[in-house]
Amino acid sequence: MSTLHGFGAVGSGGFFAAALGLTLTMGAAAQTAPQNLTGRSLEDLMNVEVTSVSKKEQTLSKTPAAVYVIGQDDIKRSGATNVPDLLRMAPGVEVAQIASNQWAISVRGFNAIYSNKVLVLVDGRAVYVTSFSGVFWDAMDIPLEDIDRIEVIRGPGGTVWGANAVNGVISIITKNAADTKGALVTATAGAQGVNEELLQYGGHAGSRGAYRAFAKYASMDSARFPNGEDGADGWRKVHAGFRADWRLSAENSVSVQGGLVNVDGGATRNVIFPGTQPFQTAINTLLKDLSGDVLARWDRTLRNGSTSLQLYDSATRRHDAGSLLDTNVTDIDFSHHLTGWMRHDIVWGLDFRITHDNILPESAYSVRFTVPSRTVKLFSTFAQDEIRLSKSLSLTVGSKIEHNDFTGVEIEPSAQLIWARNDRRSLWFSAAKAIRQPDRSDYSIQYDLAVVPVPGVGNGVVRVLGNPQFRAERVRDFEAGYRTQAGRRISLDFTAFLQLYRSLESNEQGLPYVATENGAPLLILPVLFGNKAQATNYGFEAFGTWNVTRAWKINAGYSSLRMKVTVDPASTDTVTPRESGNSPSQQIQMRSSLTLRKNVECDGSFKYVTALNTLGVPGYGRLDSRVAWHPLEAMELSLTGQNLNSHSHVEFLDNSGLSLRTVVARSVIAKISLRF
Amino acid sequence: MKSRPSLGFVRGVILLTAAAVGWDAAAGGAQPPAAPSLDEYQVKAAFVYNFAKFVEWPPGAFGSATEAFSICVLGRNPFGRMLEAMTAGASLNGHPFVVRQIAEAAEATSCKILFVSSSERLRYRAILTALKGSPVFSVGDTEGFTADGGVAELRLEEGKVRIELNTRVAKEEDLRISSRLMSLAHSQK
Repeated sequence: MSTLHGFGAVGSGGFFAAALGLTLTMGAAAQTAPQNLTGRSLEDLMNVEVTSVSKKEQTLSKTPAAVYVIGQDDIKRSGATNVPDLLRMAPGVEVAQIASNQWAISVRGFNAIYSNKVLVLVDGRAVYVTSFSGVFWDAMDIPLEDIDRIEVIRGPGGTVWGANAVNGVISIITKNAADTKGALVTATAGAQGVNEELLQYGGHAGSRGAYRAFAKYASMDSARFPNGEDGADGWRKVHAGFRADWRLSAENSVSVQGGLVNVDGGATRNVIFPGTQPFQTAINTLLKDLSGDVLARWDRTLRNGSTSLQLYDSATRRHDAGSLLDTNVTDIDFSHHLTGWMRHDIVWGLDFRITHDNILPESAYSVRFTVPSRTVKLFSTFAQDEIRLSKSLSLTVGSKIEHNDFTGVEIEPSAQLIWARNDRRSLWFSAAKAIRQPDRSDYSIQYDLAVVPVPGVGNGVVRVLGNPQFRAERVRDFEAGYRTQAGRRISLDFTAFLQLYRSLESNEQGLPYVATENGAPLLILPVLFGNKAQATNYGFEAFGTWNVTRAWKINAGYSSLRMKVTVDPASTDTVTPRESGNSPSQQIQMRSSLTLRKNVECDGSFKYVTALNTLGVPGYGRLDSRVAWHPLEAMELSLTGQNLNSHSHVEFLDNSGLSLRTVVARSVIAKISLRF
Repeated sequence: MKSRPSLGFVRGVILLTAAAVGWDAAAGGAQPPAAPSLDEYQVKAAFVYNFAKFVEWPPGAFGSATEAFSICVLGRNPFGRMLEAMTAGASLNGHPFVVRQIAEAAEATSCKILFVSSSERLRYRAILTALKGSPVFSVGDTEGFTADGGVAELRLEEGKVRIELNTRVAKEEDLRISSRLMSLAHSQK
C-alpha cells in the first residue's frame, strides 16, 4: 500500500497526507472487487466502462478529521475568479466579503477581517501574517487553473501545523509542473470592471523535470456602499510566478517555486482625528502590497518511508491603514515519515521560523505599533504515530511542542480513533488541544476607535492598545464523524464538534489618562487586550455527493454552529460576548454540475447564510451559475452569473471599525481559455 | 453509463434519508446487484497483460526457451497485486510470467513489458532514453508518454480505456505489433 511515496511528486501534499495519517488506497481499493478479466478480448476491454477513484475520494476515505477537498473540477466549474469565492463551497467555512478586495474568512466561528484562528497555507508556505494575526486575502493570488486541490480542515490542526491552526486549516496545493505543460491563455471580463488575463507556458526542464511560468493581470472597479456611493475599493493586480519540478531518481524529487505579486488598490477606512472636527471620518486610503516568495522542497523516498525538507522565504511591503508594513518570513521544515515498523506509521518533524517586521506610520490616523520593529523566532517539533490496532481500527496519537518568543513552550497534543471498513464506511473520534499564540499586534498595536463625549471633560478618544501581558488563546476540541458510501453513487459525511475555548481575547477598559498630542492635552480612554473571555461552541456539519449519472453530479452541504461566548465577572468587556453574532448559525448549500453533449457544461449553486445579528447583516442567499462550451478541445468559452437572485447584498461588517463595507452585487463574467 | 434518473432519484432520496437517521446499514445493503463498471486500474492491468499476446519480441529477446516473461512496474504501483493475480501460473510460449517492481530504468532492460507509473511522469524522457536499444514494450497512462518516446499509452476517454501507439519507437526496438492491436489503437508516427 502506497502512502507518502505516492505523494512525493505532488509536492507538499505529502506532508499533509502523512501528517494526518492518510492512507492512499488506490491499488487496494481496486482489489475489493476481483474480476477475472484475463480471458477478455481487447475489443471487449475497450468497451468496458471504468470508474476512476478520484484523488479526492482517496484522501477523504480514511482521514480521522473533518476534511473537505475542493478539486480541480470543482474549481473550474464554480466560475469563481478568486480563492475566497472558491472557499464558499466548503461546508462549515464562513466566507463573507467586506469590500471588493477584503474578506472575512473563518471556520466554525470567530469570523473577522483578520480571522486569527485559521491557518492558511499555499504549498506548505504559511500566508498567515503573524504581525496582524490574519491573512491579507487581497494580496493572495494564485492562477486558479494551477490549483490541484484545496484541502479544508475544520477543527484544530495544532499537532501537525502548530500555532494558529485553532479552528481550521486551509491548505492550497498547486499542480506539479508535469501537469501544466503547454501554453494556456485566458481572458476574463465582467460586471464591475472585472478584467483578468493569464499567460502561462510550461515545458520540459531537462529529461527529468518540467517547469511552468506565468504572468497574470487582474483588475476590478470599486463597489458601491449600501447607500449607493462609490466605495473606492477598486484594485489592480500583477502577478508573475513559476514552478519547476524534477524527479531526479526513483528516490529524489525536487520542487522550486516563486512569485511576485503587486496589488494597487484602495479602501475606505473609518479614521479618527482626535484634535480636529469632524473627529471621525471616512477617507479613501491606499492599499498597496508588494509580496514575493520563493520555496524549495526536496522529497526523498526511503525503503521504509520518506523524508522531506522545505525552505521558504517570503517578503511583503504593504501600505495599509496609513502605515507601512514590512515583513520577512524565513522558514525551514523537515519531516520524516516512517512506515512498516510493526503496526506503526510514524511522522515526526522539526520547524524553525524567523519573522522580522517593521511597521512605520505614514499618516496622522495610522494604525501603529508601540514597538515598531521586532524579530520573532518560532521553533517547533512534532511526532505522531498511527497505530493499526486491527484490520479496521487505527489510533493516532501525537503532539507538537513549540517554543515561541511570546509565551515560551506550548504543547498541542491530539488523539484520533478511526474505524474504517471497505474504504466505504468510517467512523472517527478526535480530541485535541490547540493554541493561538499571541502576535505582534496583541502586544503592541495602537489605533483609535472612536471619539466619545465625556461629561464634564469634553471629548475622550477610545484607543485600542496591545498588551504585553497577553497570553495564548486555548481550545480543547472534541469531534466525531461518520462517512459512508451508499452504493456507487452517493457519499455522505457527517461531523459533530464541541469546542471549549479559554483565555480568549477580551477588550478591557483601562484607566483613562491625559496625553499630550500635537501640543494639546487629550483624554485617552484605553481599551486593552485581555484574556478574560471563554467560549463553548458546538455544531454539526454534513455534506454529500450524489453522482446522479456519469454526466450529472449534485453536492449538498449543511452546517450549524452555536457559540456561547462569556467573560469573567471581573471583565469590563461588553463587546466580546456578542461575538457569537458575527458568525451565521446555519449555512445550507447545493451545487449541481451537469455535462451536456460532451462539450457543454451547465453548473449552478445556491447557498443560504443566516443572519449575523451582531453585525446587522440579514440572512442572504447567493445563486451562482455557469455555462461553458468547448467548441474545440483546446478552447473553452464560459459565462458565469454571480448573485443572480438579488440586486445586491451585504455579507459582513468589519467591527474593528477600520474598513467600511461595500455591497456584493449581481454580476456576469465571461471567460475564454485556450490551451495549445 | 445507462441509468434511469427517475429510479436513481428515488433510491437517492431513500438512501439520504436512511443515512441521515443513522440507519445506513440498510442503505449499505441496497447496492446495485451487478456493478456496471470496473475499476480503472483493473481494466488497465488487463490491457497490460493482454499486450503480451499481441506483440512479438525479436528473436534473442529471451536468453533461453524457458526464461521468464517479465512484466515490470516502474514507480508507484497503481495495480496493487492485480497483475500478479492475473499472471499467476500462466505462461506464454513456454515463458512463465513474472511481475517485478523496479525503481530504475536500468533494471528494465530485461523486462518484456514495462509499465511506467505516472509517479515517474517528470522523468519519462530519461527513463525512455535509457530503454533505447532494449526490446521493451513500454506502457504509460499519463498524457505525453508516447510523445516522450514510450510505445503505448493508455488513456481514459469518456470512461473507456483507449490505446495510443508510437509505432516509430516500436519499429526501432524491433517490436512487432499485431495488426489486430494496431487496428484498435490510435497511432502516433
